[in-house]
Amino acid sequence: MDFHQQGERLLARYRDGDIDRRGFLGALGAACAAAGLASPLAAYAQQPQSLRFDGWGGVGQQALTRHIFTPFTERTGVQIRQGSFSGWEEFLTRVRAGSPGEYNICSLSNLVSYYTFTQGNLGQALDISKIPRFASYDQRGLEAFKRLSGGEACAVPFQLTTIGIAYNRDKVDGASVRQQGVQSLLNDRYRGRIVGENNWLRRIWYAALQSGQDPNAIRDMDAVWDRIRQSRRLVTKYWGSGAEQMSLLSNGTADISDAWGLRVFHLRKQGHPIDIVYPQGIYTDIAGMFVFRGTPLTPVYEMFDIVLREEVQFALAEQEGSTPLFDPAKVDVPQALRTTLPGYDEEGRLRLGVFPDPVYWNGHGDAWQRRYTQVMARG
Amino acid sequence: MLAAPAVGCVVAFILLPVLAMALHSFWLRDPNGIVIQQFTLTSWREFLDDPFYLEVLGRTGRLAAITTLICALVGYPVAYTLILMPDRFRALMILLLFLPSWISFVVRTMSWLHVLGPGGLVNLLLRRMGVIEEPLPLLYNDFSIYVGMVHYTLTYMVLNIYIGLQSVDRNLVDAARTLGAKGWHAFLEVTLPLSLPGLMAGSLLVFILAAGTYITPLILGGTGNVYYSNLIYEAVIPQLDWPLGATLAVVFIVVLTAVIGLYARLAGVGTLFRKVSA
Repeated sequence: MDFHQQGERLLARYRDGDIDRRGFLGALGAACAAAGLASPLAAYAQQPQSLRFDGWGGVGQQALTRHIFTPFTERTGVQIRQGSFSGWEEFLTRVRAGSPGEYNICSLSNLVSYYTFTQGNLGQALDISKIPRFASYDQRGLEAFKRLSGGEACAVPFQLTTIGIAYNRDKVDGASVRQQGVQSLLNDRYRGRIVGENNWLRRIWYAALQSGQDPNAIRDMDAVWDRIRQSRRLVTKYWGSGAEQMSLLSNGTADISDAWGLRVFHLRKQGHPIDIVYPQGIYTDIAGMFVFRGTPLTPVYEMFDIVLREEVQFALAEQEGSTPLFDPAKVDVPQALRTTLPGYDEEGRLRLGVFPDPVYWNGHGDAWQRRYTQVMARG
Repeated sequence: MLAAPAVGCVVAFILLPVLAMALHSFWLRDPNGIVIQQFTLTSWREFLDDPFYLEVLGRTGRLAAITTLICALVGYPVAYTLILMPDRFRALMILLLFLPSWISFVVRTMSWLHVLGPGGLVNLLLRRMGVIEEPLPLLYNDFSIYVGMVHYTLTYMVLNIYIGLQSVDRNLVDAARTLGAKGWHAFLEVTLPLSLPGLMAGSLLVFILAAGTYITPLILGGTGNVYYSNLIYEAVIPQLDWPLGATLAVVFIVVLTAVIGLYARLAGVGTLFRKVSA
């Protein structure tokens, strides 16, 4: 019985003299309260006063605050409490040590972390139909997430994470890097001027490409470890953060490195002579926002409505160099962004690399991480 | 009864956490990194079966020992100079000694990047003076790690030696000189042996701090500069293997406790307490 029917029936009973005026008004008030709790307005009545967001910190998070969180708070009255982390594994440790419901939303930068989070039963399934703006995004990201978490998505994927080979164009021949691709990172000519990321997955990925293998189906691990040892002999420093990567490339320590496209975007913006190429098979990943179990979803959908707006993504792209994962048939990315954003080639075409298969990488993670630590320590 | 608060603190802040960690080392971990409270010796077996961990432990011991030696050689003259200074200058110098520690340790360590880097202060000066043409490789190697480690621990060594030297009775040195000992001889026969407890206490402190270092090799180290604390971090954070991390940490605590035991045997643990009460 809906509210209207209930009202009609009460009125009839009052007119028939079954209930007095006080009883009628009391019952009507109770029906109104019940209807209010069950209606869409109820979501606002139950809305939390604040949500917690955890991201990578720094200027990137400041941009999120400006373009997303502040308008969100103005619109809903829900405050955003913010935290930051330097790596998703470290953040996961904190989440596990925390209490249920302490964390609500976090930045997500790769499929492997999404898989680990959902396998740990930390995610909250989202109803994507309540985020209509997502229709203008490339659905492959969502499909990848759904496959990893039993057909439901606990995150919205809306950006690309790109990695390429960055080089100082004043000191390294760009044509040679383009021609050699990932083999450039093993070129003895650059010995002592190469740096790279200290991450087991990515180092194994590059080594697989360097030994002519599919990174998502490696057959010969000995060849991979050999390439990592070879890299270790040539590399000056394996960096641990994007900031360190920027520092090494900008202060003259390194002339060539595997590098996050976003960081190279910033170096170029600062005027450093750093170019980037995206060789065949290079690592690419999906970034988005993950929602933790126990989070009230109504304000989350409100927030995603802001996050996914074209103007918000373009502003973030312009300011931060993040590459939005729009469906090219539905959204036309301005040409000015196409020529500068990570992941786009010189002709302004988005070049998707290869996504990691989280099931494959998680399956080998334990053994490979340990071996990686040993190879890096001993050679 | 009077000791109850102190004993309570030791139990709450040292014994219980160590016991909790020891307990963690016997728990099971699932492939997703979730710890299951089920008894297993998996982590201990892994530690004992793979010589890699002991190899890195040995490497860490060597780093700590060399850092201690450098700090002793550099710190002793500094502390001795402090003792010889007039009181008003001494207070200022001790303040200056402490001054860098007011800045974050990470920031202090990172400052070496601008001193030792290819475009850093040292290489810049040497190039300007025409001593070198190409920058010297001063960064991301053992040299930069030792520079960072000594920078981090030297203050503790200097202060301990300084306290040790303060307790040396100057009359004994004067007596030695009266009996014909030359300055250097009087130092070797009287001052140095009497200040040894301070040197030993400083060495123990520096050794323990250096052995547990994590940040310095991470920032200033290069390829292959992996030490024991880095292994613990690797196990706990990227590998999400708390039981293995706990195993490595328990081994580390046992080893450092053994070092303190050895110190107590050689120097007598009473020297530490005398330093504290001095």
